[in-house]
Amino acid sequence: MELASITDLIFTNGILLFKIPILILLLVYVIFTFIVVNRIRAFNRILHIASAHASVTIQIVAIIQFLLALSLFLLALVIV
Amino acid sequence: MPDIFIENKTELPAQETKIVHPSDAAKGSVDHLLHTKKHTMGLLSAYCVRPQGLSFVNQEEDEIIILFLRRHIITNVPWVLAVVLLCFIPPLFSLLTLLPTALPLDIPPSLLFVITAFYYLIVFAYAFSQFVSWFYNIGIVTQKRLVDLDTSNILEHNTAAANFSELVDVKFTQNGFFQSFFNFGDVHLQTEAFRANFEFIAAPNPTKVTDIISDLRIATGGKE
Repeated sequence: MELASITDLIFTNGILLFKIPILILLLVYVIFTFIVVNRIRAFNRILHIASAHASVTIQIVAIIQFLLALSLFLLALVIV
Repeated sequence: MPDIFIENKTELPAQETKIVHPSDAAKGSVDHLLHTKKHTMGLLSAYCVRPQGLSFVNQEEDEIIILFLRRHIITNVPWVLAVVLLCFIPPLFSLLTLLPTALPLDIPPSLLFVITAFYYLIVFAYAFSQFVSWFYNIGIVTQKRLVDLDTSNILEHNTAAANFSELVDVKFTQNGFFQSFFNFGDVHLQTEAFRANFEFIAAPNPTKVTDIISDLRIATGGKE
């Protein structure tokens, strides 16, 4: 492969420059959000705050965050 | 000439002064707290006496939660401001790319969408982790012991408990304008030498908190 075609691959298509790092970062982020969901589940086992549905609300927000991250990762796999 | 000012020789009966022992006063105060009506806690409550609907792991059946503490809500302002500022960066960046001196970046719209969405997800994760660190960083005072649930970040969590008999000293510090204005401060609970000291950082109403803990310590037979 010629040098010109490599630079073309990097800068024109943006595969190596953007796509692969973004996919790796998104995967790391998905793993992080999954850990957050588990941590919050553990926190709720230690402490239960029934009033204002606080524990449940935080758990739901954590799950939504995980689902958003997973959706974005799958979307990036398809469209990028 | 008759005397105008005559000393009244009649002595009043000596009033019986009731001497209340500190431990009796503390017991009375604790008894009052134990029979106080339960208070409903909101999602963002940072201070609650006799909270309703709160329980923690290893709580004994006859253990009553007297005091619930978190950092004062005003301590969240720095990260909230940071998140608001971070939310404005992508629109500003897109405006900068419109300038004639800007670098010509040929990024496909689909990739730009993913990058922007990812950026906002990271900002959200930062905000959420800060909120969770605040939300689960809790001090609980029961009639038997102190429980300190420390969450310095979302991936780190420590739980410590101490009986009142182990407490040596209770004090609080209030430094600076904001702590005085919003009435919050750090409550330091010194335990026996072999135990780590407890701290309720940025606790609301530190005077009241110190008073309640001192009363409980004395009422349960701790050192006065």
